[in-house]
Amino acid sequence: MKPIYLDNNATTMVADEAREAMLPYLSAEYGNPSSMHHFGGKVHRKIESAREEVAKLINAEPEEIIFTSCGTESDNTAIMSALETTGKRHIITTRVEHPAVLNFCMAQGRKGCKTAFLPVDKSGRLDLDNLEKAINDETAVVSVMYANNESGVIFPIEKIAEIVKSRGVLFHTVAVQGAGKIEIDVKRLPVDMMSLSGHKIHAPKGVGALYIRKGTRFSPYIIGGHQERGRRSGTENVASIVAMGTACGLARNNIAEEIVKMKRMRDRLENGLIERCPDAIINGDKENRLPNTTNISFEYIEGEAILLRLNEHNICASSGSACTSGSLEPSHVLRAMGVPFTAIHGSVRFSLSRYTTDEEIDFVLKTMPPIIRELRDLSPFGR
Amino acid sequence: MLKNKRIYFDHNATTPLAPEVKEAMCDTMENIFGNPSSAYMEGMAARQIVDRARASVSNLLNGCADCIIFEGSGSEANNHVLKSIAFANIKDKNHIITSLIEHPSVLDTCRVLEKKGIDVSYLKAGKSGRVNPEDLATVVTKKTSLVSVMTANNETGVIQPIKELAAVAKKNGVLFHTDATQAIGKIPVDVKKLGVDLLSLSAHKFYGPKGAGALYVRKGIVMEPLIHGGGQEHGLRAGTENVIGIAGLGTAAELARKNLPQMKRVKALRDRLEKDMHKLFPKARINGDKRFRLPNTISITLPGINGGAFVAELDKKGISISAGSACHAGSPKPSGILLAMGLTAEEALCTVRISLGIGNSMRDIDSAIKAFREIIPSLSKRGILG
Repeated sequence: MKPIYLDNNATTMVADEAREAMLPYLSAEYGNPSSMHHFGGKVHRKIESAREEVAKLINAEPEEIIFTSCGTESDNTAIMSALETTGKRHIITTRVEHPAVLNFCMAQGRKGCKTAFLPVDKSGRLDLDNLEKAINDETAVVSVMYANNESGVIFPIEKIAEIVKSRGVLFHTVAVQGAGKIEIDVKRLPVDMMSLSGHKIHAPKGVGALYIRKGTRFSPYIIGGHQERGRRSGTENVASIVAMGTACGLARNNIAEEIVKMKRMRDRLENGLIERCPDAIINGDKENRLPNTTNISFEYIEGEAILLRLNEHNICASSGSACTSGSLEPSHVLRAMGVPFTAIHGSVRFSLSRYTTDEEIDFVLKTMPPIIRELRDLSPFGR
Repeated sequence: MLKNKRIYFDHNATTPLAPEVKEAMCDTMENIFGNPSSAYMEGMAARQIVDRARASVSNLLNGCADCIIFEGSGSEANNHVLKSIAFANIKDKNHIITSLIEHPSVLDTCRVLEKKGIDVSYLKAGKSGRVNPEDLATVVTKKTSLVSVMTANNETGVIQPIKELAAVAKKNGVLFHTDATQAIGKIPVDVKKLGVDLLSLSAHKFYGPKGAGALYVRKGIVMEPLIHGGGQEHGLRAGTENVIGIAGLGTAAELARKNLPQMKRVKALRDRLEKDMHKLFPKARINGDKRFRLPNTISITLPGINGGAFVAELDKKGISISAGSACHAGSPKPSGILLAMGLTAEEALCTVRISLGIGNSMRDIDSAIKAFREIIPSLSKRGILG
């Protein structure tokens, strides 16, 4: 039976079109794009057309895009490049970033870098005054995610970028969760660097990209061959790059309709669950949220227990980000938002995709309320 | 010549996917899409794929499954080792040793490390193309933290005395890393027999996919990740796993073990091609010690003939070879590896690399010789500037 997959912020299914596009590069077209012969050159040209597709998704120029192995590599690369090119030792980020940014900053901390981790309020919003105050002469870069993977909250990137740029500081944003779900236009947004990931937009795992605005000084992270015009070494993951190009094209083509469709289904799921399950709280700013994400706390019960029961009905959701699952620590994002103790352990994230159907939403709405009732009956906290 | 009848002689640049590898990847692509870090069934199915591949790679190297970390490429694996070990104890140990014939992912990283206060010694390879273990013994000091020498060279195919070099490192309490990217699938590589602490490999050099590499880290070695983030790969390499690529790498590793005996046939083809080229072009010279070479590689200097022009003419005839490593292709500079072996710039520019693979046949060799015979007279007239 096909699973009801509502965990698209963790990873997505590879789109059929993207898979089709990969296949020739897994067989006849196996040349090394760096080779001088025609056979390699053809592959090189295909990478360039994928680069154009990725660029178009965020309205960038192709030469502003480099391919990497994942969003995490893009994040590490961007922040390290800012430290290297400015020679400064201060980073500003938020407490709700992805571990790729948080743990990178911690690691730099052991090498003498300081990081300011900005707090968020109950709705997961940033206080921009705090940001202004945190910037100093030693600040190399500000890295703030476009949208949060767990709560779906979208940060006011345009305003943040303006503040950061007015102080002459580099600005990086992780748009891994934003791309393909909201319209992003780097021509209107003064960001210097932006990370993207393939597997969150229906391309395979193992490919990412980094946007680097023309004129931004850059220092490569992985050093060696001259690939990606000397900005990222290592033989290109050709097949996956081609798929990411196709996936970006797909995302761009129907983005307006898909946003409406995902939002409608997400709202139906969210409202339905709130109506049918007492003591359920929506986490995060409802006004500024990804159209596909809802994070709901069911008070007095364990999120992990809910997920196990959902899984018995073939429904995939998550209690936090996949990158931290397996740990019993409650989500760092919800903790930063001050979600109360009675609710933080009982949070469930549903994240939809363009392939989610109304039947699937109906099934969850039918299946989930009895599960919540049963678990509450077993809960030592009563209710 | 028909487009689909091309002859591919550039296996040190990259290789076609083995059909079994492609099948494993397509199978994974069709059926497995979960995030290996997710707790439900779909995630666990992806985790199993990754774990199975890890076991296959460790079998290939005679390591242990816990010792294998998947990386985005061989270059990333090399960067990881050098940066992590060089900076680990920079106060007490700020010296590393490598050779002048390494891949750019080692050499260029070392140049960056030098700017950051690491002393780097570069061992020479000389005319034979082989690093001398006695030289290593003379440069290693109490400050040395790491020695990194490749298992076999990508341009000449010369196999390095890894066992002897690793023994020198061990005697001095220094970690030893080898970039085995070119050796895997062509000669046996056993981490225990070689006595290496760290080893890099890349799937696409042995009939696996591009974008998948691995690093062997002997148990007990403490390392920092290069890519920080989630706790994937025992906390040593963050980022959602390239599940499809890793599935391909695992299958390629199994095949590499199984298909190793086929390299005998490849060696016979290579030797025959070499002999025929000599007949055709008596002034041709093979680079590197012929006693210690990968069975598939020829680095040949054709005095008076421009290597780049030779490659381009063959390309028109449907034959892919290279004038140096693919990582340098497009640059008019002579190969640093050949210069390090004492060739003049002129000789280096007159050199080409031919690297065979298990898909090649005697008919390919005959066709290539025929093509060489056709293009050599006009190329000789054009001279070294091509």
